[in-house]
Amino acid sequence: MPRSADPGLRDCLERLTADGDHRLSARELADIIGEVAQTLTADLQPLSVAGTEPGTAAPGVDAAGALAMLAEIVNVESGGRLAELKEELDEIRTSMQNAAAVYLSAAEAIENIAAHPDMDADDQAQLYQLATDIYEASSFQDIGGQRLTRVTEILKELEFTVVRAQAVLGDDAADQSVDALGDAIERSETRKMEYFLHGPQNAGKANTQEEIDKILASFD
Amino acid sequence: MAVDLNMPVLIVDDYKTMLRIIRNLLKQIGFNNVDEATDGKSALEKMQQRKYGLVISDWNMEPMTGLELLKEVRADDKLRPTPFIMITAESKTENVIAAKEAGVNNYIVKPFNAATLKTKLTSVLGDF
Repeated sequence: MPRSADPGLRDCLERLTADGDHRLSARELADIIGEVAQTLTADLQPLSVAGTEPGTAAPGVDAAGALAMLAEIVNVESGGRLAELKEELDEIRTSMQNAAAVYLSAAEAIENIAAHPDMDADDQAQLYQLATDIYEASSFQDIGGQRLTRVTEILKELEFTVVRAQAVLGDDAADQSVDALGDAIERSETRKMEYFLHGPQNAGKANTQEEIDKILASFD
Repeated sequence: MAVDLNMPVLIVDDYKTMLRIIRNLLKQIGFNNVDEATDGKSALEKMQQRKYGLVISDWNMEPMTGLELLKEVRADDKLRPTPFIMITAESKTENVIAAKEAGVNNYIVKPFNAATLKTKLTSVLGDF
C-alpha cells in the first residue's frame, strides 16, 4: 500500500486484505467508496475525457458531476430511474402472480372435469396428467419471484452506495437520507444472509435433486 | 401399514401460488386434510394447536425461516416426531447438510415435479 494513501482507506483495505475470504457488506463497500471520495474532495478537478483537449473542462464530466448523474439515476425521492426500475420489477412480479393464478384455475377446472363419474378412465388419466403438468410449470412463479427479490435488494444497496458518496461530497439532502438508508440495509443484513442472498442458484452452481439425494444418503 | 390419507398435513410457503400447487398435488395423491401457513412463525403456532402427521415447508420465509421452524420443531418434545420435508430453491450443499443436521426427513429442490413429491412422501411416510 503506498504511503501516500489516505490512512482511513489504507486501514480499511489492510483489514480486508488480511482476511482473504471476507465478503464485503454494503456498509463496508460504501465506507470504502466514501474514503476514496474523501481523498478526491481536496483536489476535485475536471477529468479529461476522450475527444477533449487535455485540461479542458467538459460540462458534467467532473467527479462531482458524474456522481450527480448517478444520483439522478438512483434517487427514489425524485422519481429517478431506479424508482422506475423498482416499479417495473413490481409489475413483473404482479403479472407473474396473475398469470400463475390463471394457469392454476385452469388446472383445477380440468381436474373437476376429470372427476366427473361418467369420464372414461383413459381420458380421466390424461386430464389429470395435464393438470399436473400445469402445476409443475406454474412453479416458475416462485423461483422468478425470489430472483426478482434478490435484484431489488441489490438495487437498494446500489442506491445506498451512491447516496453515501454524495453525502461525503457535501450534498445536504443526501446526508440527511443516508443514515436511514444505511440503517435499513444494516437491519436486514443478517436476515439477508439467511434469506435474500440465498434462493435459487444459477445453472451450473446448483445441486440437482439426484445430487441432493446422494448428500442425504451420505448421512445414513 | 398404509399411510392414513386423512391425517392433517401442514404446508408452509410465503408464495400463495406455491401453496396452491402443493395443495393440489397432495390432493391428487389423496391427501385432503391440508392446512397452510405463510411463514415459520405462524406454522409453529398452528403446530402447537393441532397435531400434524406431516409438515412440508419452504426455506426462505420471514419472520421465521423453514430451517428455524425445523429446529424449533425438533427442540420441542411434543412436536419432535413430526415428519418434516423441506421444499426449497436452496440447493447448495451446505443448505442440504444444515437441514439434515437439523433433522429434516427429506429435501426437495424447486422446481420439482409431482413424481418427486410422491417419491419423497413414500420415503418419509411409507406406501400409499
